[in-house]
Amino acid sequence: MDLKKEERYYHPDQLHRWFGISSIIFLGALVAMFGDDYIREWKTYQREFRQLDIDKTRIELEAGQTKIDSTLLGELDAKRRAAEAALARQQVQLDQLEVRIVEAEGELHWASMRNQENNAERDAARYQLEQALANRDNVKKAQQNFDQLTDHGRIYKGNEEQFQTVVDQLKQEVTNLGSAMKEAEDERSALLKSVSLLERKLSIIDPENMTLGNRIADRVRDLPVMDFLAPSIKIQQIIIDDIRDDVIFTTVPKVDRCTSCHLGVDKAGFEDAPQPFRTHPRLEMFLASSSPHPMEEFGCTSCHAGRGRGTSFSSAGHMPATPEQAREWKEKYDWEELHHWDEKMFPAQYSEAGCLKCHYLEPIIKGGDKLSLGLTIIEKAACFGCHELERYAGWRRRGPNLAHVTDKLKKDFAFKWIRNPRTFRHNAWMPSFFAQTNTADPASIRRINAEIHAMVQYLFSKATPAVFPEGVHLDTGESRVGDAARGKELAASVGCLGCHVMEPEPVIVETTLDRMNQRHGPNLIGLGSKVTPQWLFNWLKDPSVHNPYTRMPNLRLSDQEAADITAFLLTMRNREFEQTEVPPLDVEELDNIAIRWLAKQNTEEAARQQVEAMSPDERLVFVGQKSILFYGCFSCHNIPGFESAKPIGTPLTFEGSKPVHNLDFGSIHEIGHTNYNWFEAKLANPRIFDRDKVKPYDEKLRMPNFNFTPTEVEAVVTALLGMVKTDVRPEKLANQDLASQLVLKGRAIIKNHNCQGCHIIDGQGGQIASIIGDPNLSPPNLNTEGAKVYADWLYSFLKDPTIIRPNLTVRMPTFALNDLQWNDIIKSFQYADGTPATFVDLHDVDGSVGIPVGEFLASKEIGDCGKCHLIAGAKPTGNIADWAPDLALSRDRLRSEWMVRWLRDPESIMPGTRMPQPYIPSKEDVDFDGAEDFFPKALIELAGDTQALLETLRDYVYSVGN
Amino acid sequence: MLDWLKSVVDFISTPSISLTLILLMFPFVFPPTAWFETWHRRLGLHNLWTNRGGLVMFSVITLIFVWGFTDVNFSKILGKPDNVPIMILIYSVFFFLWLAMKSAYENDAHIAAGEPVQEYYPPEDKVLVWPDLVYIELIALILMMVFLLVWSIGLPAPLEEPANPSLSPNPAKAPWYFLGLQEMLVYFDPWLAGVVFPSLIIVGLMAIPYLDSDRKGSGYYSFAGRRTAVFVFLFGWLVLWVFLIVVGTFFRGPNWNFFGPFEEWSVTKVVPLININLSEYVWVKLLRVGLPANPLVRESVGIIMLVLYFGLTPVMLARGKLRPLLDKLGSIRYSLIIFLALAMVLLPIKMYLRWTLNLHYIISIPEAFFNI
Repeated sequence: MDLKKEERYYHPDQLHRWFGISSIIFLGALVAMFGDDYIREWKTYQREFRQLDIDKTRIELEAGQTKIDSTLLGELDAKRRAAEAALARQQVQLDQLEVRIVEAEGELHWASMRNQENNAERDAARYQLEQALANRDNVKKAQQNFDQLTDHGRIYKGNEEQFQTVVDQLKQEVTNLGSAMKEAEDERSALLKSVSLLERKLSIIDPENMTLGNRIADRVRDLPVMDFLAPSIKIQQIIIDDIRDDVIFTTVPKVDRCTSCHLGVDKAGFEDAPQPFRTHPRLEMFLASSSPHPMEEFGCTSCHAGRGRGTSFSSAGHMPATPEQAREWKEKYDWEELHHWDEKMFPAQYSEAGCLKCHYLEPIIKGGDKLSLGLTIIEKAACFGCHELERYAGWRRRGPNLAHVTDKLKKDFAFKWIRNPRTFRHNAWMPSFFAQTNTADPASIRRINAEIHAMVQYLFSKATPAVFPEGVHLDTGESRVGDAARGKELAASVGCLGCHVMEPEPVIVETTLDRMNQRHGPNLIGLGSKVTPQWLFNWLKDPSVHNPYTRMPNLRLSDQEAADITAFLLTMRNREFEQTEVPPLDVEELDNIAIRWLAKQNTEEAARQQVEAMSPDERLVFVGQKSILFYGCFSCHNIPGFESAKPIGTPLTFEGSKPVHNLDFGSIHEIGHTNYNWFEAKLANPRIFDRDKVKPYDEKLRMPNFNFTPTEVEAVVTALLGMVKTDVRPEKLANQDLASQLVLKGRAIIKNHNCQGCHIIDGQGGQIASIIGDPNLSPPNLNTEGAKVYADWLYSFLKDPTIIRPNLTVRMPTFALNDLQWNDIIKSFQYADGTPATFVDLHDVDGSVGIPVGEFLASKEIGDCGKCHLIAGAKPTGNIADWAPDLALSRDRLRSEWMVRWLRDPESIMPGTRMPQPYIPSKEDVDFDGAEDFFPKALIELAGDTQALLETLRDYVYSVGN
Repeated sequence: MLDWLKSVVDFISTPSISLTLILLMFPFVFPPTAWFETWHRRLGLHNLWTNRGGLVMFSVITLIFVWGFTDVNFSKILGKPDNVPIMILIYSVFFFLWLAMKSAYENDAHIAAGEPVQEYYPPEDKVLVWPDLVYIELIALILMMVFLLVWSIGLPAPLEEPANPSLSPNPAKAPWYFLGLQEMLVYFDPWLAGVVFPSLIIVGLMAIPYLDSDRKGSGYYSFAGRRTAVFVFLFGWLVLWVFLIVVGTFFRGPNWNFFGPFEEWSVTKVVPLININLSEYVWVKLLRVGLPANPLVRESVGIIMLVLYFGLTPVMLARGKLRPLLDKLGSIRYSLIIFLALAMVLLPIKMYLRWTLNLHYIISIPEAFFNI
């Protein structure tokens, strides 16, 4: 282009230079872009893991090689060499065979081709024949053609089969010649099997063990751009269709890419590897393909939460367990909290929270101790009283019935107890409502004192004396206070301590499920400062009179026993508490409170007039009623006038899914901004988020303080975090089958009534044994109970317990459960042990020829059952501590199959039992001269048949007393 | 000391204060008349448009940002990847303003001395589109691509959680380029702030070449010749658009409450909401009679005021100071220009009325969804 110089503003060379420079920078930026896309955290981890795997395999290989018996290997090598030499000598014959095989295969190929061609033509001819038949046209010709081809086909097929036989025979000959060689080879590779597997693995992953070609390919396949083909380093992902992620407008299958970095998590052998490669700590429970939660079906975030699609440390939603770990992660992984994701990973201490969404039907989640403890505390503390929780829908109020409170308490006690239960009982379950961090100022205290006076007045004015059943007045006057020393013994032995502790001073005990069983009922201290003797006596005699829904059972105490225990419990007093003064009622404050309540619906002047029109007592009752409603006392207690009041707390059914910004942190900035940090703070001090807030009294936070220990807080938070909205398809949920549901329905009642305070059920509970000291004198282990006893026997026993073990002082109490509940419990045992049939015939032993044999085996000389067992009322000869149930009770009680199972191996059913395995003679035992003189003839015939002999023993036991 | 300084900055940043300060300074920085020009020179403000002045302003802005990054709260706002465009906006607006003003002042000096302007290219004041213009554009394009690549590598686009219609983010902010409009929504109803004003802005900008036929300054930077026009344009652009974007980005926090740059964004911040309508002022506060039932009677004061504002002001101005403008442009162009200018000025007027009198609406007829 011819340009006039003066028409150009810039010099062309200068522009070219700028163009060049900017293009080079642009190229650099492009390279940087590719690099940024290519360099990923997970790729580094995959390389590291590969090296780890190589090192591990090499060590295993070395170990495997040293383990191989070298002399045996030498022998096998020699054998193989010999076979090889022998084969070499037959080389000529082999070669000839090979030639003949080639020829025969050629023939076979030709024959088979001819057959196939003919078949194709025959099929076409069949079609033409069918057409001809349909059109009634040229049928004859078509038929001829088809028949001819069919005949040919038969011949060709015969030919083919003939040649095939020849080929097979020849090959067999070759095989026969080489059989010795193959045998030697097989033996050798069987010996080297484990080693050669490792060698093969190394040849795939270890560059040093690769061929040159593979080594180059190994490098090239992971290069940028090339890596779209078949990279060795690639994202690993698990897609789970029936557990879905909610993306608001729709749900999508869960996609977990965690294993892109956590490469060893499902493989045993990396237990000591550094993270992220470490093996899952509970492989037998999770991830392994034989475990209940195989990795391919559950992935990772189904339980752990987090962002499964994330492929970097931060974007996966990792959350640190402690601030120290957060610091460490920041340094090591450049971690920062993933703000824009609601379901962040549970920190390590809360990982059990993930179990609940699928295992929500289980009252105690096996392997989830912390979660189960959390749920148990929620049940014990009755969180569901104030907070709606779907899993506890329909549960009854947990606290004492206050409809008859006048029978039980004095007003002074009630005042001081309400003000702070812990001043009376250091570990009371009733929480502290008053003088908390947001209500400790003098104005609040003034209001609180007036309110408590009012509440006490309300309760005492509305309470009525308990109505005793027709004709029965349990209070026996004089006899209600008996012998305290005898009462102390009784309290320790009849079973009170299955559910109650007596701890006058705080003890430092970690809260566990067993400890929760122990603390099922209140700590029995200071009762002398609390209740009236009449009430206590009546309560012990029959708790359901004062509270029809109490879970305290009836121990069927005699009047004397009840009087003795009453006397004993009343000896315990809390002097300090007794001496605390109750502040006088501040009438002016009371009026103010009344006016403030009334002024909410009225003008202040009208409110004042309304209050003035009330009598002093009416004012108290009015404020008392308002306060009870305000604090939600009715959530736990039955209070007249509040029978159908609605819960006052936030519903918690899906608390774990609540977005963090719906939680008011107020001015508390020193904790992390996560839901669990908030829950922790709230549970440790329910009023903490009122700090630095200016609020009128009735707008202040009013959740009471349960004085939870850090362990308890952690457990409850675990449970809360587990209460999430999820989209898990029913087929993935646990316990969707009827049998499991029946088991769990009964288990819930069992847990609720603390059967595990005394009995071991599912390996859990029975803590009373540690107090009694001798498991043999403690309530029995209920392992295999469903398979053990007849359902109708169990039903009648539970309704009206009879004495089975006369040497036990601890009593099976009578629980005020209805028939449906009993049925649920019985079904629970039956289904748990796989014996669902309820109606079964009793085992018939009439005329059983085995009875004399069994009797012989049970006799004093052999089994000596009578040493421990009562036999139809006859007292055992042995130590009373070793006494066992009367054999006469067995027939109507114990299932016949279970009896045999029990006799075969008592220890496996009831670990620690003193019942020995009965002596069952073997064939050798009866094989001596004069055996007939010693053993019954029938026994000698059965000797060696353990099953049959055990059956004779059972039949004998069943015959006792009948 | 530093804390005190921060509280001063927070105080000054309050829109009422900061807008007032800007309005007071504006005519001295961009003098629209000879009187302001004199003071502009006397105060030495013309030195802003020199290399030294540019360096000083650049340093001041940078210093403020550096200071901001040392503060917990301000750094949260500045460090947000979404707000990086605003930082670039501040720097680029400042840079191009400075460049244009510097060139204009230099050209003005040339013109005063009777020399040709810098943009003039002898002998025919013409250069070729190819290669001069297109080549440079290509190079600029490549460098811009480099910039965008590096930016996207360095600051990955912030992806958030799946959108949830039941959970609105707080504050819910428009894209940065719409934050000026969102700020207007504080003072006007959506139909005005979201529909009428943006339409007027677009139509008004499109109308400029037809309304203003003065060819002075065409093809080169100049200030002296077009001082009033430049002042009016810069007022609309810098104060009523860029300033509002900066306010919307940096100073509006949860619940659209105002927060100083060093103030913590607390969700629970409460400001008194005591805005009342002009009709309530007149009938309830002044006359102590109840509000009339008829909306037209009730709102008559506001309606009269607005009619006077748009009807009488142009006439008064035409009789007074703006007589030369009317003569020059003719009545139609004059009316259009004045209407657009009055509409523009209505925004700061309403803002001031809100801040000083807590005036909610001048005309409030919720019965017809008509509020101004």
